[in-house]
Amino acid sequence: MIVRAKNLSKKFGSAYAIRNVDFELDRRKMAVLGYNGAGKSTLVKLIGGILRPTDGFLEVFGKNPAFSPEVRRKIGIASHNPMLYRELTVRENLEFYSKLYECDADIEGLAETFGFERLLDWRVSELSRGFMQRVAFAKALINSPELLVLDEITSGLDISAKETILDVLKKYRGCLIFTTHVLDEAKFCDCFLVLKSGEKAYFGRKYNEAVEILNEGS
Amino acid sequence: MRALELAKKDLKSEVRTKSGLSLMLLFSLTAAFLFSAAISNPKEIFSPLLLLIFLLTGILGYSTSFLKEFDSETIEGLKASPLTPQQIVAGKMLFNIALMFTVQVIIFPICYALFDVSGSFIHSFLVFAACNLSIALTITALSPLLSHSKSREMLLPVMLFPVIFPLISSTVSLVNLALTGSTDYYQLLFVAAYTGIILSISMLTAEKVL
Repeated sequence: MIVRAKNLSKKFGSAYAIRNVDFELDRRKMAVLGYNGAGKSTLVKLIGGILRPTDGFLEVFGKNPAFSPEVRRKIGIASHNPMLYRELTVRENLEFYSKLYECDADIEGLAETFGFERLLDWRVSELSRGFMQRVAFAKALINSPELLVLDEITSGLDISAKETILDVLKKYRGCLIFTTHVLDEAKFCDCFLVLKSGEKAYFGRKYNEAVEILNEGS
Repeated sequence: MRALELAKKDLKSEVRTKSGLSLMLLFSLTAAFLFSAAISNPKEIFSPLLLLIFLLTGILGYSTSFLKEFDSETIEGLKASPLTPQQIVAGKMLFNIALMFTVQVIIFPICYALFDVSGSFIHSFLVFAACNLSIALTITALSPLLSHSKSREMLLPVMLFPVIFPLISSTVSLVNLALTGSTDYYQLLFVAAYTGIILSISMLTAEKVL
């Protein structure tokens, strides 16, 4: 099992962002569906090791990612926060992360895949939002991760950039956790977790059932 | 090694923006000129003035590298990477040490000349560097605690002064003695022990504060 969560909860102050969420994931592609405030980003941050659970149990590759650098080395994460240094160039950002992950990344190859090869020596502050997202996605792939965790990565992108990213995701051979509120984008996944107000409403393989439950009462 | 990469990245950012260094140099130069003009015999109180200038400059400059990571949310990228919290703190400390030495190399000789001080320059420079290092590490260790506070500019000095208080009298007497060419090894040992304690506490609490 790559990810195991049992009664996973995360509280900010007195409010729960995630409450008693259970699921297990092996080498599959899982879409996390939910509307704004459902707890998708919190779940991604917990799995990526950015946040620590308040209660419950979370294991990624057998360990809690927040306390295990070896586990985090196997995870690639990208969210709507690009996590890039604005004063550095795109190349410097990617080189910096590649050194942190101690990997020899093919920066030119990644840039070519996502269409920002001519922008490699531009500062991140000079990039448009769309290109920043592409660089953020390339950054998530820099360590050739076994688990890719993406939070609304396609939001704010034009159709061609969206298609490029979804194409890469479809071809990706590792385990994928992908959050979105655009339901059509999740169709290629093989299992679905629906979150409503921080709680699990559905976990299974049927897309139509997941969408139905998501839309119930909305 | 990863901590060194983080420090190198911060240095690269600093060279590009010059935001922290120019602010620190500008403030310390202004303060040095003001003190030299306003005080009739500044060499008599050279060491407390020097300490005051570097302490206030440090409050302005050393916390920014950490707080910038929180403000731009790039801290999430560091936390998601294989860096441990201790390596993040160590990287920030290394960067601030580089910043501290740059500022001291420029400002200390200017203060020395402006305040018309006579005495052993090299000796007092090195002794002050040891105390200044302790100040830089203390401010770096405290700054992540303030990351979520709205009034952090006010909170940092409030938190810093009680913590740094034991260092103040040692620094003043060590620099005074160094100007005469001698060293109080017990006081120097105290500064080294204080630095060691601050380093240990910041490493032990890194998991909690980040």
